[in-house]
Amino acid sequence: MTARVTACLSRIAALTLSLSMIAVTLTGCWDRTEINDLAIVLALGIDSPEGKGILLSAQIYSPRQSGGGSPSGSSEGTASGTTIVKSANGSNLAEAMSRLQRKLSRHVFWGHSEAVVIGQSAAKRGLREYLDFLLRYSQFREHAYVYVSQQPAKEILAQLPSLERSSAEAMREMGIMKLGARVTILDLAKSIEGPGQSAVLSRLKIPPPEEGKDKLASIPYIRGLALFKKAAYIRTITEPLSIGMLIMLNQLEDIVFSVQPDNNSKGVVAIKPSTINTTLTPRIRNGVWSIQAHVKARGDIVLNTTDLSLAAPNQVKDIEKLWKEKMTGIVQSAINLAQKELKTDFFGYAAEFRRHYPKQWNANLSKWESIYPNIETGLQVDVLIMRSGKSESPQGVPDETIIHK
Amino acid sequence: MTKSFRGPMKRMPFHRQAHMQRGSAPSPILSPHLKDNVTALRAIYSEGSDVTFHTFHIHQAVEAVLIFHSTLCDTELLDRQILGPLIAWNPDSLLIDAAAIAGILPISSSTIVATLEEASLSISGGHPLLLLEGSSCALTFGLSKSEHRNVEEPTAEATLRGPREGFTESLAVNISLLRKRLKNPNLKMVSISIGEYTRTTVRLAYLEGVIEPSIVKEVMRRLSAIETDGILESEYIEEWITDQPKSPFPQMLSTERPDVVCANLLEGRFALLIDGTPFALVAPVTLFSMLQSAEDYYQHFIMSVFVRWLRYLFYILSLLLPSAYVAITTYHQEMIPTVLLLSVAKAREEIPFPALIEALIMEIAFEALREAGVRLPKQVGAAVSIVGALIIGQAATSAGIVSAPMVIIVATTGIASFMIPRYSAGLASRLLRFPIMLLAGTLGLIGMMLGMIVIVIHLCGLRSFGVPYLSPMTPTSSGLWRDVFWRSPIWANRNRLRGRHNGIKSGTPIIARQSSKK
Repeated sequence: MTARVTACLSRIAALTLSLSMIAVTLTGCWDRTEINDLAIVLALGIDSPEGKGILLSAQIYSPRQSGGGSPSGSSEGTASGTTIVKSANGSNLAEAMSRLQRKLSRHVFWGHSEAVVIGQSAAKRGLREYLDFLLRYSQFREHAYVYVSQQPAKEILAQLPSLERSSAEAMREMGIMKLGARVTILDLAKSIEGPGQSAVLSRLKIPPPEEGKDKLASIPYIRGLALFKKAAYIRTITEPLSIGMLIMLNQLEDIVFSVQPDNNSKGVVAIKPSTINTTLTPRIRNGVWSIQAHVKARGDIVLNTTDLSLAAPNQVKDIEKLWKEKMTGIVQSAINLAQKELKTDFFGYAAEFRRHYPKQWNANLSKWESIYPNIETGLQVDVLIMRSGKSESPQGVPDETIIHK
Repeated sequence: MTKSFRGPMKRMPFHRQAHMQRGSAPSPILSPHLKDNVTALRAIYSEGSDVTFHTFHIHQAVEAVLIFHSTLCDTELLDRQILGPLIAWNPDSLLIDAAAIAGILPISSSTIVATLEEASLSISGGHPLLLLEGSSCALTFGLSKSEHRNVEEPTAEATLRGPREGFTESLAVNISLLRKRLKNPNLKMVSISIGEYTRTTVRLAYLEGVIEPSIVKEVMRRLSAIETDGILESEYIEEWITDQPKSPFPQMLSTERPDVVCANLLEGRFALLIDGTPFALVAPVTLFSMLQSAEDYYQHFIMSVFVRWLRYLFYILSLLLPSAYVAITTYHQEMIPTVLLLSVAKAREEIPFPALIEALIMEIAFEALREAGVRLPKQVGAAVSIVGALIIGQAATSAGIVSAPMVIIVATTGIASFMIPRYSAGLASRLLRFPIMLLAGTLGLIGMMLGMIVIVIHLCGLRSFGVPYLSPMTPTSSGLWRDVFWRSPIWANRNRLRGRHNGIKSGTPIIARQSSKK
């Protein structure tokens, strides 16, 4: 390096340094925000009370831990009290957000919202407005999990579960554990805007409080699925239909199936699947569109209240057969619901066709609405019981009653 | 220190006068008359001097004078090996000269001097001077004696495994420590004396045939250009001869380990041994060699690779950690994992200062503590720094003045800076931490990056005796990476300097081939 460049550089360095020195003293010139000045939003809730306007609620972390007041003003002692809920009205989300800021003495910081809860009332208005805002405003995280709630979203946020730091944390953990459909803001937008034009969201419910316990101390849990067609809410489904739906979505993880062997109506055998894997194979033959859905399940027997010893292979085979029938029934009813009843492509048939038959897909793009309900869905379920558990014969019954073959 | 208060040239040493006169007139030569010489030397060593003038007669006939610093030379040997034989000597003729005397004395080191300057230099250097009546030459003897401590373990560069010997303040001892390790005639030690008053002997050590000869030439040129009154420590020399003395990054390595010096000589570098300090200077160096410890080569190579990477990581941490904390917590909160942010928010809730001010307070307090600990006596130092750290860490946190995460950050930074094996290399990161912190506090991560860019540009332009400071990264010579990014086993290190002195040119390291730019 020549001396001139060095001199120039050192001058630049000196200038930068002195400027930043000056800036340190002129604190008004910084755009910094100390953590102390932030209201960190952990989850946001969207409601639409009486179908008019938007009620935006934010679950805000309260670092002082002095027991956050509940939104309704109830002053009962709370379970953990690390969060408070603030909400504001507005004709749209952005307006509600700016009103919310005016109610708080700290900068509302949305960058850490782990969960978005859309109340059923707001979900009925359609998801478009919310999605646009959540994906446009720079602070929101695209990987926040989205839920629909039976009760108003504000109530979900107001829960202060004793197990987790906040209900937002609980919702995030439930999303990671795949207790329902694991859908982030980005997934939701992609599935609505994608060829399927539909979405499936988990539905949260607050259980009634146990007797003598604080009503805010219960953990919201996932119960059922909310179905959307083109951003519009159409239906809520619960078990067993929702299980079939999750199997077809390849999202089911934690579940137990119980079957009743025919020859022994006294008890049940419960199977906990370790893996359930669904593949969709599209096919166009002679202008006939069809989909082959292949469900592969493997599982272990976790409970056996029948008298079968399960040591004999044919007994396990029988149980496998029953399990297969059960799963086939559940999945088939979900397929029927989607194809025949709701005529909505929840399972991504369209994406499969687009990937495998791009030419035919493009040619029939406009006719997809009419093609979809008539697609033949062939369902094949393969099940395999890997282990019959720690005990081979049923426990707690005299040996002579056990059926050994 | 030689003192000479003569005429109007007050406070100017004799040597400088002689030096100045060199241009116009030659230095006064010794006269054949003993009296004249003695008078001249007495004038130099007049007031406040501890020089002894001992007059005696050889064979009771020829007058002779021994002039010496009784504190600097071994008087016992002087009496026994010189004075005794001379008095008892029965010469064939009375026309004796210095050369003849050197032949009969039982002493291995004697030199004939002809000028007054040389004579006074040798007296000041502790070598007794013998003047004879009727001879225009004088004789000096290598009987100087000085106090020095024993060879001890180097305190600033301790290793778990490896030689325990360290340099001492005595140049002769240091040279012997080097020669003991490198038994090769190609180990050259060029002597040069620097400092008008101190006349400090500096030895330029290098392995001939291994080092690039132009580097030696360049060092000699820079060393001879030094004009100073005194050299008391290696830093005096370093500041005179480094390529860019204003850079906070050291461009020479100072070490008190003879094994480190030997290793560097073997890699084609040179070393400067300076009389009076246990620190030797080694150059040319790169940033990466400043982050290497002798121990890297004394431990299993896998362990060394691990430690080396740990060191690189912590070097960067020591420079950037507080800045990154300040930048991210004040500008980029979305970058912190949620749970961590909540913990930080809880810890910071009661803190009255902005993160930048908090960081500056803590870093300055830490640096002060560290400096206090270094300067205090060993026994007190440790106690004080522990108490100080406890008070700052514990009390400040519980009083709500400083947040606990900041204490963790500052403590980690402190540990990180202690991991740098060279104290001088650590100084750069300690110093540059503050401007980067200011940049981070005002501009966030962009400011931090700007600071980094300025530092990298500076490093790219830096050279140590012609060798780019960031080599072998830039300019890239991937062959040398095996000793930078990992440490290949000793037997696999092809970086051996297969004797250039044997006429084989291949295998010489690129590092030594870079020619000097200046």
